[in-house]
Amino acid sequence: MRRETAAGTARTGTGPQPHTLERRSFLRGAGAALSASLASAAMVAVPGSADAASARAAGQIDAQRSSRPDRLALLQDTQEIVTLHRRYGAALNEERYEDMVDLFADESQVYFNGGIFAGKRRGVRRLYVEHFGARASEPALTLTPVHRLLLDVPDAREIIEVSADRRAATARFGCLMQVEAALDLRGARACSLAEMARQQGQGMVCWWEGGEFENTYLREAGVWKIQRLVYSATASGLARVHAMAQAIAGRGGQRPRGMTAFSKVYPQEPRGPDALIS
Amino acid sequence: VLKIQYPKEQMHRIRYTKLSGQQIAAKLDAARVGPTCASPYSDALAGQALKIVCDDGLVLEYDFDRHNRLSLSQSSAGGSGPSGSGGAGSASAASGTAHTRAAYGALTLGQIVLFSHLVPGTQNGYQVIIDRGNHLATVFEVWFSGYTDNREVQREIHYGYVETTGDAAPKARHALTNRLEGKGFHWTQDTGIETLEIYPSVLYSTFVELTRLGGELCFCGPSDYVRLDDDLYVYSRVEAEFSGTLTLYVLALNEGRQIGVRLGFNASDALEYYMFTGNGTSVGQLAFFEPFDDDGEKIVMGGNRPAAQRKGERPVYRPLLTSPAMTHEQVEAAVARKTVLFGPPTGMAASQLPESAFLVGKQFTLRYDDDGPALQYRVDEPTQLRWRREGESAWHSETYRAWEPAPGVIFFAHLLSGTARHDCVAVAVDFGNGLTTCVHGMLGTPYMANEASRKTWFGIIDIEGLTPPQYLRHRFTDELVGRTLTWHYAPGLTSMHVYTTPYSYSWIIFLPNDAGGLEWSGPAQYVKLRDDLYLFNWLEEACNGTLGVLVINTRLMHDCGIDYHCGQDGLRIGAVGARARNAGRFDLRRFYGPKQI
Repeated sequence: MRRETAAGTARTGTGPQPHTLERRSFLRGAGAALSASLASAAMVAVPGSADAASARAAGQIDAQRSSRPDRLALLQDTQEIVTLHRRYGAALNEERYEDMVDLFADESQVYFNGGIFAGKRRGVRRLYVEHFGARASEPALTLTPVHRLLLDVPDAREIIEVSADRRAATARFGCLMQVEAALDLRGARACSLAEMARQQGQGMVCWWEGGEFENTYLREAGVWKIQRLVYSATASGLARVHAMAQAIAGRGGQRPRGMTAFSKVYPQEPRGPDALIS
Repeated sequence: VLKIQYPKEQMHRIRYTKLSGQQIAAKLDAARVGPTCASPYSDALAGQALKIVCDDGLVLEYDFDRHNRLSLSQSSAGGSGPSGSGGAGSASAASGTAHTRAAYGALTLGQIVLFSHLVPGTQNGYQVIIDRGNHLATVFEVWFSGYTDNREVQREIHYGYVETTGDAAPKARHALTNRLEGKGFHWTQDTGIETLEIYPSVLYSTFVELTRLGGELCFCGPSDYVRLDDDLYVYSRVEAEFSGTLTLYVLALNEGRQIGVRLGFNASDALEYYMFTGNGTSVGQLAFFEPFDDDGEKIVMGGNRPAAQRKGERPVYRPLLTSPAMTHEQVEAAVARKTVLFGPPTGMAASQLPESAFLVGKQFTLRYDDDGPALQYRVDEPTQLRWRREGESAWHSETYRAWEPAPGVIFFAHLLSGTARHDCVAVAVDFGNGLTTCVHGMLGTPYMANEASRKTWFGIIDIEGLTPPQYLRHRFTDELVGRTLTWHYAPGLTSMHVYTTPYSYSWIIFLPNDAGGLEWSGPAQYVKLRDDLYLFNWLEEACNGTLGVLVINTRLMHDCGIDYHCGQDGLRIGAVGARARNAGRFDLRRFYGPKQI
């Protein structure tokens, strides 16, 4: 079992410090039950004690055991977080951006493309509904990329950890992400090529990349919500998935390239983040 | 003495009358006698009765008499009458079952019959293609007053068959195709009219009116390509943004023959409604770039284009809708508001050649012939130079960029600050041969204040240590005419240039499956600098007004250059660069130049 703070903190160096609690880790898939068992076993390790204190210690152990979450409940939490992540992917793929916002806690954050979007009804909604959602109606605005499609790519690095009090969790998910951004054609009115491409429904570049979510979760009114979502394209993932991406995307796939990161914050950038990741 | 009657205005300069629906209805009245034709009509349909059943529910029942008259009963599931076809007499052609009598014309090409008629009392008509061998039918339903510009013919294609008593409906259908893509023909109609027609796209085509317009410029129009069989195809185009005229014909590739119909209003607003036959000669075949198992039965649009909302809707490039003409005052205000010289690189510059510092530290004078200027230069930095006209005392400082597209050949460009028309120069200087060519751009034409115009000067370099030639100069060339290159600027930004005439070219944007898509054209000039090295410029006239100047190196298959543009967002000169691939060549040069009279 690991003990750690939220996975994204080390990467970004910013953001709140969520629960620093003992966590139970679950490898997804076939090993999940075994991992849960091992994790629970680790949790019951007790410091050595003198015989004189054994009765008191035994009482503490009993108390600890009685407060220890039920393994089944932990597995259920794990499954609910996986389901929450699946719902996130499904809503993204179906362009149900308002539904995506509903998956977040009230005081949540999204770390995306160099920016931090804060607050479920403020920054998070701005990112998904206004930035991602503007893609279809105003594609030229999406110079900074949007996520189009998310494919789950289960791999051995995935891990879900639930706090002992079952009020918080962290998780890491790998994925294959289709990303889209408008062609950077400042002064595009001068460019009939770009305008003609736009009229053909193009004027965008689209690529697949390996990505990773390092999220924290909390239970809000009894329901797991995303507290913090940190998405980053993974360099190793890029190479790993490129062949797969080409197979999926066929001739339409283009090799990933540098993205235009957010450089201005809201409201100067109407669809921008609340802060930039330093 | 015979004379070539060049038009006073080329097609893109003609201010076609915005005809009202009532005017069109009145003019169509003249077509009650049916289309005219210089060749004899076929009597293949005389005395016949046909019932054409289309997959979308349109049913046309015809009785043809022996005097080029027909009786039509039409119906459609869901009322397929043209939407938006306002104006007098524009009642839906296909919403009822009433019998209509109309004059028609019919021509045959092998087993194919093409017949054409209008529906009296409406602004609609049908161009029907029937294969008498397999009974398949394709119907082009056409109508006026279906777009903002009433004179632009709209069309909807219906695929179906001729119902034959006792026989089951055939399963095959005519279908859209890319099998004509990349082909080109020289056509001579029975009217004597000659055209060059090139099919580099599945959405558009290029045409050169050798007779009507003297063959100076090429133009483009939205087009349809329907495969009847491996040899026989239907082609149609509408001269959208111009006269709005429809040209539709069936062509036989092996025989080089066509039968067709033309319907629309000419520059004098007179109705042209005639059928024609013609003979054609292939002028070549370009490469086309779809996956090998893609026969183009479906046109693949980008994911961000909304689905068609109305009948007959299709992609049409209408440049002045997105780049409206500006007044002189608007131009001056825009230039004052924002002038960007070689700003942050855009997608058009993503593949540019490395910038060159070749000129840094040099002083020279470029002397141009025929009353062209003598421009003195002192170049101090890689992006800043000073210039003055010979005789001036003061130097002008300008931002510039330079590239070296071939050894010793420098291409550079800059604004001529302070000039009344915000002039720029784009200059090719061959230090190896002592020669220079300058494209002098300026804003404003008699048509649009934000449209660039240009003069091209040839001259020599006056620099210490180099003696330039006295007679040799760069010259205009037609070496590139007929050649076709693809140009890749950046991911998602690839086009194909067809160097169609010595004075124009057209460009095509690829669709997601790499089929040719939207297309447009503009006047152009070609100058030979060296073998395989050309200075090419074009004007996006009646469009966004851009002047583009490039040096094309066909050994490197790479270019460098600039675009010079003024729009609502200000004046800009930007870098352009792309990598080329060879897409083929048409044999076109023999059709241009002064004719033997």
